[in-house]
Amino acid sequence: MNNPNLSVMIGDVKLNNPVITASGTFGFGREYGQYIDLNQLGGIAVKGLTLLPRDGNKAPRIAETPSGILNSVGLENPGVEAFIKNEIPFLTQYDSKIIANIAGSTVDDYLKMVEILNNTEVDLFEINLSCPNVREGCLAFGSSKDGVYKVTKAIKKIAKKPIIIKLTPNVNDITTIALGAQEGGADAISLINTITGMKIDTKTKRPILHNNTGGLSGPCIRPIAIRMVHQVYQSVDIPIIGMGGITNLEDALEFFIAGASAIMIGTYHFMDPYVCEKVIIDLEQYLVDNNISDIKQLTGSIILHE
Amino acid sequence: MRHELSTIVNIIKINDFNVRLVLQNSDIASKATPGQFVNVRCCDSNELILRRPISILKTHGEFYDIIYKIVGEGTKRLSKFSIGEKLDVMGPLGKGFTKESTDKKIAFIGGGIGLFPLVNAVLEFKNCESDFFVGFKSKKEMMLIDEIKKTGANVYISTDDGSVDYHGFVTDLFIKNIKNYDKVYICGPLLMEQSCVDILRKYNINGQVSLEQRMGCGIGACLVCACETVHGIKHVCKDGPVFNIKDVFLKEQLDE
Repeated sequence: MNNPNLSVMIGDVKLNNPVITASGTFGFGREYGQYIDLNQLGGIAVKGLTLLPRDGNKAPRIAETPSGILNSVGLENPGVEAFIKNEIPFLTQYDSKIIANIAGSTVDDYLKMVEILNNTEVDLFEINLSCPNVREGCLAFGSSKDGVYKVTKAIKKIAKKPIIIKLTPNVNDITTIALGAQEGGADAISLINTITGMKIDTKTKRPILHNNTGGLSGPCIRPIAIRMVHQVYQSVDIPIIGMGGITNLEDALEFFIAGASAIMIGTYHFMDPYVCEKVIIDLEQYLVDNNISDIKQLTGSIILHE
Repeated sequence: MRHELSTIVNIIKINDFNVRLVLQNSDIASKATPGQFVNVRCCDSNELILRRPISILKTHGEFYDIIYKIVGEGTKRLSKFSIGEKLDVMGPLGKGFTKESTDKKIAFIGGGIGLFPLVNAVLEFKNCESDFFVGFKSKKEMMLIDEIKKTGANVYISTDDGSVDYHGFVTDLFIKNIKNYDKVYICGPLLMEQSCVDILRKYNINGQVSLEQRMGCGIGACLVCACETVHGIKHVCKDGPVFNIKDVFLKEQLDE
């Protein structure tokens, strides 16, 4: 059998394989680039960008929880201009697609960033409508179908690259929200962002995180993510990029079977810097072993109980 | 580039809480500088999703030593490993202590387990007149004194309960014996570090301080271990853990 096809299309952009690093866990690629060959990745979703530089929240910004972590970084980033100047030249050295994750407080913020990034070598936009750690905007848009629809539509009108709408799981009905993205013209949906949580130090009675609450990620959220990918797959036609606690091939397969066309791996990098590399190799071997010629055949192959 | 696993060649129980591991990994041992740390995977299961950052105590040939205190689930799991087993350790990480060739008279101030990263510094910073100040809660928590004395450093010990030598804080012991040091190296609880920094600033002495903050990736990618500096937000794992005392705002961290 020939090598199976691992490539996937997001809009008109072809990713060499469906494994992408999740925004916020991988910086701009430099640090993990010392451990893995960044050329191997399907894409790199960079640290969430804002129009102006942000200092983020006060530390502590992380707390370990059973099979997961809470974080409250609060979108610390150098701003979109510094990203273009300092990071894009580094990232363009590699074959993996550059996914600019952008977050705004207003619709205007998103539009300004898209305009600025339109004429750069960024390949895709990931529109962050789901950061739980900043006070204004962002999550507010992502919490209603109408909000998601409006932001998506406004961005789609001017974006010269395909747009991925990143959804929050902190909503009542994820399928309605996902439809908002599709109707607004999104090229893909990525989910799930983190789930809002809290951890308390019982000695001091204070939350560990200085921000009090934070976003939960890691293997503990995977069943929720799988359920949401499954639900969204049934309601939209655009590709889904699934994420939430992926640590190995088995976890990745679950997402594809549930309905994902591609996956993102985030938190587990902290434990295993080579996790993406391993999943890509294992995924290809899995397709070969199971006589599957194209990764697409896995997407949504779930067999539900009657 | 894959990092090689580290082999446990010896496990030494120091007291009820502290365990010393002698690990074999020529890459880490040859690259590590004083004040750097390693990030240790404590178990194979994914119940614990973070590695544990632990400072490097010393290096010798292809070996390096670390000491960890059994405080939580991660270090409890780490204590289950036996001699001969391999540990997944990333490192050496971060920026450590530095010494100029013109620094001839130096001092170290360590509080409790904060003395660990200072041990490698006093071992490596040779041809100096070194004073080593270290504070413990009580005699039963005292450790590593003989090893430090072997370097030729003058060792000053304080205990909170007066069970050994000076009865009181290590910062007070330091003030009593302060000299015109070229550089002072600090590591301990935040409150102690702040007092030391205040003293050094008052006497106009240069210093470096090793900070602690809850970490994620350990290599500067996830940005969780933020600290405020005169140069803006920095990250303890990559820009530190050692900072120039002129650059950091410890008070802001204390004010929580």
